[in-house]
Amino acid sequence: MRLSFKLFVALASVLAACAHGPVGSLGVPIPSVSEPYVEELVRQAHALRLAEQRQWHKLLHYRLGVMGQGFLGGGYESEADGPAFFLSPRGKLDPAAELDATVRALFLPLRGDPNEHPLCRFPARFLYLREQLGIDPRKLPVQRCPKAEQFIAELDPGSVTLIFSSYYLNNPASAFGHTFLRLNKRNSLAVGERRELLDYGVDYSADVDTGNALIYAVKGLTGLFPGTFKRIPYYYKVRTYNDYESRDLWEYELKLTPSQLMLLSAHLWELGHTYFAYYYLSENCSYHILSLMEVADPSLHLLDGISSPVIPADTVRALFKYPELVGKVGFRPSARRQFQTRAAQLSADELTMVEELAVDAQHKLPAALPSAREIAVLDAAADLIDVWYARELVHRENSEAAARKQQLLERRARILQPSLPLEVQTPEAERPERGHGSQRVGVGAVTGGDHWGLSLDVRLALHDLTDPTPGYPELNALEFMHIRALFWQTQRIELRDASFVHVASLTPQTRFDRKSSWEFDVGATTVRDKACNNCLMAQAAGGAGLTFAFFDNRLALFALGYGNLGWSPKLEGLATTHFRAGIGPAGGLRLRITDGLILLTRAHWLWLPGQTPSSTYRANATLRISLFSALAIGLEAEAFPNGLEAQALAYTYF
Amino acid sequence: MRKHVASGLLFALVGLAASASTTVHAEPYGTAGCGLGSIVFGDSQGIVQIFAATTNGLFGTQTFGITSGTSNCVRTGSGSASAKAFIQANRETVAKEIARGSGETIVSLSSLAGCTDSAAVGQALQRDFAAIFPNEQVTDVAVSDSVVQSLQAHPELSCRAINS
Repeated sequence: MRLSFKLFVALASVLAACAHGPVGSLGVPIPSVSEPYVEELVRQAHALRLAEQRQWHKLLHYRLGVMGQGFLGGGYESEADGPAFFLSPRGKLDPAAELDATVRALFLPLRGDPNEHPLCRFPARFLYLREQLGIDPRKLPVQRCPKAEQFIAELDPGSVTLIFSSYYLNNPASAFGHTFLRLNKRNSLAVGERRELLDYGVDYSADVDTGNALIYAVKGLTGLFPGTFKRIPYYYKVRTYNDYESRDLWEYELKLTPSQLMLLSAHLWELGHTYFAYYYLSENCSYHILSLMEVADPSLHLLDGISSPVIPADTVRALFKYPELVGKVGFRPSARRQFQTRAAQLSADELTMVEELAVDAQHKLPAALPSAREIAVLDAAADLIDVWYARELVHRENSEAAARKQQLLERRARILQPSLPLEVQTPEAERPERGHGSQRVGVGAVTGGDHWGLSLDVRLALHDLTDPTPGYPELNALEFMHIRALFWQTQRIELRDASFVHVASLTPQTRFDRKSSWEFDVGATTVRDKACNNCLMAQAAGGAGLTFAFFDNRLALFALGYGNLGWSPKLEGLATTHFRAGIGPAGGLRLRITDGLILLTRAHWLWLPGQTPSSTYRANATLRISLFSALAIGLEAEAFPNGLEAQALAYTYF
Repeated sequence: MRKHVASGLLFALVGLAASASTTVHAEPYGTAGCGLGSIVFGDSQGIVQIFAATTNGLFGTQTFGITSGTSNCVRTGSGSASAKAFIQANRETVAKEIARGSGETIVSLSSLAGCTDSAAVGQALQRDFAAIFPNEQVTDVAVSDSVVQSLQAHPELSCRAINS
């Protein structure tokens, strides 16, 4: 109990009778204890220049504005937006005023509910000031903070773990990953058995108040949703991510000292009182989780070098700037991976039995099947039902699947032997910190026809099918704000492609996974056919189809039904409008020769009904060679109705 | 003096931790942890929603798809209320692991219920599977009641936290 000890000795080693000072409503600084003592503390805080300390800035989430210090008298602004987070009316913009107000507020007379007293609302600030100023606890008007104490006692962290919930494009909500914390209860650490489920997860998320996708996107990008910190039992997280969304969880234990953990717990309590404007691109979940780490240990500069957009995997990589910070790395497999692990332990005949059982739970198994094998088959079949119907089962939307699962489990329960724990191998190559940086810039040369030019390629995030594979799912592409511009020797500048978002999810067909593959791309591209040469066209394109993969996904072939809808003022398109609509096949081949040597060919042909020309196409081939983790060379060739083009680019990831 | 105060407090804290329950109550000044349970893009489909949901995951907000009988501000201290809340929220996995007679949720459940031997708990619940899950329509609440009853009916498991 050493840990809780600290705060509570601090909070309550003051059992001197309540000092009943002058009555004043909270927020009005009327110190109950001798004013000279309080003013002496304030003077001391000035002398120590606490208002300029990093720890103070972190506790109040101050950040230097873009104008820098000195602009309009200060330049600091707190990211917290709930007014109750500040004790001074100028607190949001003025670290020094907030510091003075806080020191004085700690000594406000207790009136009414002690939980509402500033000391109880801001126990982390108190811990910090007590240490810096050597506050005499006997002079404090408040001795107990029942609710804060209970909150901290429930967390009772012996360590903290940063969790990365992996990418999973088949569930688009999971595309870029997510990070949150788990506070590991000391009593669950003490026991050998895994009891992480009973620990608390802490995450930062937007409180969304709309189901409208467009409003959602706009509000999210402009900071109009309030973001709050939430404490949720870890088992909810596991059920949501591992089971419901079938995502792997990566767990990074962080080495914090007991006093840092105490400060973190106390600070989480403070954050429960406030909210922050939630910005998807910058001040998002991963940003604020790292900022929590900086509160706990201000010597960490995890956010330095993290730029917008803040990508969860980048924040995981930032932890490794401090080799001593990260302890054990754990892995919690998704439901899908658990099933795959079970399936890998079955014979061909047994896999057929699983397949039969998953559609007919009454399917008879061979009488000669030993009970250990029967258990393995039944357990795999039940996992498969859970993977196939994860959502329907939770929402009670598929009574037929629920009945099948029930029957399978009844059969399983009749064999009165416990299943052995499933050992899932950690996919080391997929560790998110091994991935390339999320931003990419490429420069190179382009040649087409008789012309030469320079090629510039910029992408804000994240990964395409030819980027180095480690750290990313093998057959997924997820690109955000990807621009390629060509600067021809003829002094013509061409914006070749400007994609706002491009997603490709190729899921190889297996006997247990019949999910289709799909792709979409929203942005602008250049028309280079008879309708128009080099016209920029806004477009939305996409398709769905099937992927077949061989040799452990090294070779993948995909075919999609594809279509697009475009608009350009220079186009004479459908029925005298400037719109173009096309439909046709798309397909390609991806060959991973090594993790850093990947060949991708891709083509689509589109029929343009009632338009001129009546069809168009685009075909390209890319060979990407990674030289170091941050450098790659791309050789690219492209064919289109008006000609051929080749490019060579050097890419850097950061 | 200091030491006495400290031990008094520790005593109080231990008591607090032990009595932590799943009581739901409004916290006017906000404990982190309330406000869970809404479904945001939980089951959305179609390209527009896919895009929205992509932005959602991209920038770190999260969907929460599981609805359960439990409400906000769930706590994870031991006791039968916590054990029941745990069973309700983990129902699909609990069903599977009871049928298998072992697993992580059984270990956690044993801990919440204060049982000494989670392997024995797994075997006992496996034998009671048909009573706990008579059919697939049984509600989460009924399942959680049956599990707790089953544990109480096995004195040899000595599940202290739920035996009244």
